[in-house]
Amino acid sequence: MAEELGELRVIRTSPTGMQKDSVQGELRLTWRTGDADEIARAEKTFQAYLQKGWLAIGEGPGPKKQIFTFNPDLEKIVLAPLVMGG
Amino acid sequence: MMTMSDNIGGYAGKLLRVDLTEGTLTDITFNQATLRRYLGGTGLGVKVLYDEVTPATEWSDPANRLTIASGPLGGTRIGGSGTISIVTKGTLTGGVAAVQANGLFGAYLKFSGYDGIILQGQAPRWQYLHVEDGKAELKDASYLLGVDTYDIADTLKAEYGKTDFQASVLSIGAAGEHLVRFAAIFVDKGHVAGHNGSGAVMGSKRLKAIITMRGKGQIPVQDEAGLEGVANQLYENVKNFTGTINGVYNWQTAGNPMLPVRNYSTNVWTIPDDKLEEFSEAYIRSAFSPKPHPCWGCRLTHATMMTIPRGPYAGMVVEEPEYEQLSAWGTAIDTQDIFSAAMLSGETDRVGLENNEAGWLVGWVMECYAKGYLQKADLDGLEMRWGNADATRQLLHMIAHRQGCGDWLAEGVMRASQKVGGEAAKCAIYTMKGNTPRGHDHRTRWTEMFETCVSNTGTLEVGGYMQDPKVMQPGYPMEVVDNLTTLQGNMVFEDSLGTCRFNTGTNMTLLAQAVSAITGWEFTPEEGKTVGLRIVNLMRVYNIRCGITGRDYPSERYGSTPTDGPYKGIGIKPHWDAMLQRYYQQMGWDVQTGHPLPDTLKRLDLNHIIRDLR
Repeated sequence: MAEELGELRVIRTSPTGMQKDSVQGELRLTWRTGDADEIARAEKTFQAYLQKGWLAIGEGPGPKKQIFTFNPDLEKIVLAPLVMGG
Repeated sequence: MMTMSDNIGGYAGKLLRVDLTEGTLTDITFNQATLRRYLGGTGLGVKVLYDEVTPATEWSDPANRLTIASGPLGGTRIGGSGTISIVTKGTLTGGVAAVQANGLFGAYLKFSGYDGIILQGQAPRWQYLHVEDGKAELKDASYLLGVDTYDIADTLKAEYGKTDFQASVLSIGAAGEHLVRFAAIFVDKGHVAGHNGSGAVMGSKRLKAIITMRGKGQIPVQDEAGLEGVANQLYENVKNFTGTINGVYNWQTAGNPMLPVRNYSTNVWTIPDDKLEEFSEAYIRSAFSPKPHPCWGCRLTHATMMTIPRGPYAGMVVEEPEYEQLSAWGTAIDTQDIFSAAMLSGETDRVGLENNEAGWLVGWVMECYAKGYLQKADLDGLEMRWGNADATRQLLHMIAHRQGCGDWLAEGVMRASQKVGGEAAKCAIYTMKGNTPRGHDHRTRWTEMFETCVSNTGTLEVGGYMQDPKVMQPGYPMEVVDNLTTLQGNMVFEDSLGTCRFNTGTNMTLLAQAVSAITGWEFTPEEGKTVGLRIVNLMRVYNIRCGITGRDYPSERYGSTPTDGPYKGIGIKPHWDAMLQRYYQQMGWDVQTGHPLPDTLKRLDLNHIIRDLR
């Protein structure tokens, strides 16, 4: 039986202040639900992006919703910057 | 009962209620529980509107309220925290208008002892309001009538012997005086609280301006070090931001068909390379001699006053145009000359019009003129061909003064187009609530078209979206809905704090930390989102009470399918009803009517308004 995995998906984008619609690839971090080191690494990444103002959307179980704290029980967390202005 | 000043930081401690009919000025307070539920800015403004303005009240009725408020983070070390939010019953939608302007006003008002001002009534003659160190008085403004929004700032400051940063001036231009439906309110010259006619409401009250002095007061902060840490992190996140002035150039060079061209009659802008280069930030900043004109506490470089360097408008001083000024006066009416676009941006400000509605209106007139739906005689002899900047300048002044054809055009895009009717009406860009969108071709930016139509404020309510490929381009209707509902509440929360999105990026985590640091509350981003959703639902119910229901749709042209460009043939309308149902369901609203369900209102601690929907 496969181990349960969580996934942190970071959508990487152009670093310019006035965002264009370019998406330059993705960073994916996964963690095994029982592995404290992997969870800690993912949580550190999560916190760093939230401090920078990125959005975090938690997916499953249950409906998607914006989250502000890391939850290793989620199946997937998507991190993406906010597009605004212009 | 606790008052605003009891043991919490972040607040000056009172609001000023000005009854212009009676000429009375009264200090009022809110208790701490109310503040925590609504915070300030948009939140308090919407509460005042809901509680005090009946659905039967017209926007121009003296009983309408116009609330101008900062929030708990206003006037702090957080960059751009001079922002105010203005809430009233709007002229275009007949429902909530909630708009923001940056500048110094919010900070200086708090330093002068007030978190906000509630205007009501109608003065027997034109007046302005003077605020200084906890005191306020109404003064005769008859000599200021007709003074434009830039000159009045200089005039009033000079009268009080103040230099540029010793006072802040909020005003209306000729458009507000003449009750143009899309008149805006201007702060410190070109900072604009625009959509849905706040300037016309202020004009209906016969209040020309408010001047607030720098003030000697200080905002109490519970945790100075904590607030400083947040402020520094916020600045670190945005320090490379240089404004949106490069937007038109960026989109065009990137080949992104998001620019609004010739009133949506095409999705392709054709402009020579040398003319396009002049729309670039690099060119404008080098040629227009920008001089810093910063908002409170802002260390960014985008707010400047600029001088048009050459051409027939050489020497004109304008506030640095943002993207939307350059799209309205560049692509939307196909003025391919940056100097003309900058001139029109400055003129729109000075006469007191809201930029976007003005741009869509002129674009519609030009298309009608080109197609023969409107003749020269209908337009008082103006030759409204595409890109005619001089004629546009004249038309803007006629609208602002309601002269000639400017009188019926002053009613805004929806009403003017309905008056002309026929094929002309089919060309007009607006939502079925009566407001117009921001300055893009939203047929290629579905998120923003959908949001503009479902919003309760007369402009954006979510105000940003995830940079995700499925949200960035047409073709993913359900992802658009999911994006909006996921982020709902964030922007309205920020608009209740007194801060500026360019400085904060609506960073919910850091904003919540800032609220905690300044007030002493243990405030989480989840609580911030709940506050935002509470206000969104309160606005929704208010609008429903005003009869605004079943109008979450675009006009025929606004929701049309591009006929050229890379997204030719890909339209949003076939998906619209399914999108609406999904949106309503995810918002906890009735999927058919869009009315908030009782359980949703209970969850947001809005039990007391459930009966209002029966």
